Amino acid sequence: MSSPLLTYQQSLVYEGDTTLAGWREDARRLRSLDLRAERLRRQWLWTNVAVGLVLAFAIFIVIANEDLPRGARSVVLGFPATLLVIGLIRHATVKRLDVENRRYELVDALLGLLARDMAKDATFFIRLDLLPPTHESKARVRSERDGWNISAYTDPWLTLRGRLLDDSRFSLTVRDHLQLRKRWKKTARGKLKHKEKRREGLSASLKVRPDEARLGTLRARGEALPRPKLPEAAQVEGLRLDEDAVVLEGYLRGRWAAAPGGVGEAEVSALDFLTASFVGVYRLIPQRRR
Amino acid sequence: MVLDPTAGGCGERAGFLFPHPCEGEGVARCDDCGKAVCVDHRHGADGRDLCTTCARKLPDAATRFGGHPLFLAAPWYVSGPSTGDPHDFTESDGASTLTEGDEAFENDLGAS
Repeated sequence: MSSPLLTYQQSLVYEGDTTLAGWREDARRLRSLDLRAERLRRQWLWTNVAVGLVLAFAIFIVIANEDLPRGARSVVLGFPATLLVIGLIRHATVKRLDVENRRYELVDALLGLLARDMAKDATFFIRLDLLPPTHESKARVRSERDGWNISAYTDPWLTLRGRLLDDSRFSLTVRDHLQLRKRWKKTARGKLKHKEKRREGLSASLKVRPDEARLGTLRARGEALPRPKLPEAAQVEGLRLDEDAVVLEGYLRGRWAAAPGGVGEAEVSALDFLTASFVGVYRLIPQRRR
Repeated sequence: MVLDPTAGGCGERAGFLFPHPCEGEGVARCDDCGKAVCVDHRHGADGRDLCTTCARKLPDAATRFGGHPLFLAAPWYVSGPSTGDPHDFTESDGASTLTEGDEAFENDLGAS
């Protein structure tokens, strides 16, 4: 089985079938690539600032010395300018590889939980999209109102499909929702100020397909499915018994973090949300005797 | 960690979502029920080794083991009923930016 990591650096999408051991190894390399990109990005940023200052100084020298020969002018200006262009290109290249840590951290933590109920050599499908949430391909709505430029993005960045030890199959799709509002506003003093606001959320659609016998038991109950309890910032948006699966759709309001429980200020835990979703659905499904 | 060479295979069945046989090697015995437990299913409580099943029965299990993966499915895990506006950000969120009554968000420049 070839590693989905092989194509990752071109596409920033980690996609394919893998095992728990394969994922752990790839997650370690993903983290390492990301940390390297973060370090290089900082380095190139400061290098570019330094070269920019040198270029500004060179421009000053050239302006102050009008009698400088043309060849010398080219060297004094051309050298730092070329370095700056190279630096900007390098910065843009590594910036692209500097991805959101929280995404692969969340997947890693979730798989750590699910691994307890999966066979050690179980394979599963994963599609982990690490392109930025504001990537052009994820833009959904652009509009303008009262001077605000409004952009809405929907980013289905995670798909996970696998089988658990009780022979049930699960399929999880996670989407980021982001709304950005930007405007230029003239202050009382006549200065132009740029304002930006954002609303964020995370939605998850979890489908669990147990074996036919347990599904039959669930159907035979014939009553409305009791709504699972989700963390405070989350909301059940839909719960239904499809022909072959239990489907739970939930929404988590706010800026999310991967860590469970005690996350930073103004952040909500996506791991708690996804954990509660899985637990909630499994409370509905009759357990199989083994 | 004190290994118990007589423990044998892990006898605990607790999982994250549902119980199932454990493939781990026993490293100790539960001080309450005597069951052999592996590293994952062994929980220390006041100097005693407990299996997951016995640890879940402790009156203060929620505070002791609340963040542990094997305890997340316990009834006391869920924080409470869901609250909030289900339509805060849904498929129609593009339209919701045009909803009347959202003027405070539109005009409040202080919180960017």
